[in-house]
Amino acid sequence: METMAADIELERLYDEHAQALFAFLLNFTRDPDDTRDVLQEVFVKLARQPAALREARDERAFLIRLAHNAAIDLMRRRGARHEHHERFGLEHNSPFAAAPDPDEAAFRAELAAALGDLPPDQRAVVHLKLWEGLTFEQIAEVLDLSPNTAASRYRYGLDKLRARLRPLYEEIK
Amino acid sequence: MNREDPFERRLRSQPLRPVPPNWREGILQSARTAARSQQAQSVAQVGGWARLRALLEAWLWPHPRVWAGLAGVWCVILGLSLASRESSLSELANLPPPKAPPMRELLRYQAQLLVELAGPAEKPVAERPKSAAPKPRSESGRPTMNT
Repeated sequence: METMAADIELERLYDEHAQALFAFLLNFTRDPDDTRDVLQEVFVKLARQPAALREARDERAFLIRLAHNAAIDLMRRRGARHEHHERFGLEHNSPFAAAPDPDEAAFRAELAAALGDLPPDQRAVVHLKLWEGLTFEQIAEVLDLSPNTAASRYRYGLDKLRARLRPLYEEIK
Repeated sequence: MNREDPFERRLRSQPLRPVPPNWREGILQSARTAARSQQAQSVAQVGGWARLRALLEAWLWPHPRVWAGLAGVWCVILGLSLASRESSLSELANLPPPKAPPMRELLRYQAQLLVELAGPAEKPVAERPKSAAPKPRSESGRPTMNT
């Protein structure tokens, strides 16, 4: 009975948070295989230590923090492979959905490439701010930073994206 | 800083790639398997302690008074042993200093026997002084002069 309840709880967590974790991890690692490994590691940890999540104030923030730490560990272990994927697998590793419109598809591809060129710490902040809608305080808590550092990383990252995407953005607009 | 410009809104509106649907079952199955193995490990650990406890209970429990009595007897024996050791040491400390050892007496007796068996030692005959004519008392202290 207890096992069944734990299984249902795991399924609920997956259905509510896997999409967000997947997008964050794919944007952060730029590698679908690493993303799957880390996502699985996160859920294995949750299954082994369900009490850890009960103590968390914000489920989503706790899970992203767990995923971020696991991704950093994995990227350290696979440093060389990670760089290879960043350089040569941009289309395959894009965190964005495919677009039927060619202009839109080009913009997303360029955005994915520009994000891939950001340092991972800036990329993580930009992702959490833009696509998770977290505040700088929440980002700081998740990534173990000060809110000022989170804000400055976001500003630097956004400026780089703006500079690179301006021609396409102006054209589409 | 919290106000978004059109560029940020544009970025935010980009739809993210969906998580591959075939991942769900694999990831959840791995998580379930990990949870089951952890539960089995913890049950095995608890089971090991429980088995040891049951064994001890099965061994000791049928006659607890006998085991308690045996332990009491051992305590009494230990106490008596310690007490007797302490008393013998104190008695030894209060004894007078030992007399001359009997071996010495025996040696002295033996030496005495040897002396008796050998008889009295012959005393060397002392050379008698040559008799000389008595001199007048007045000349006895004067040195003689030979010419």
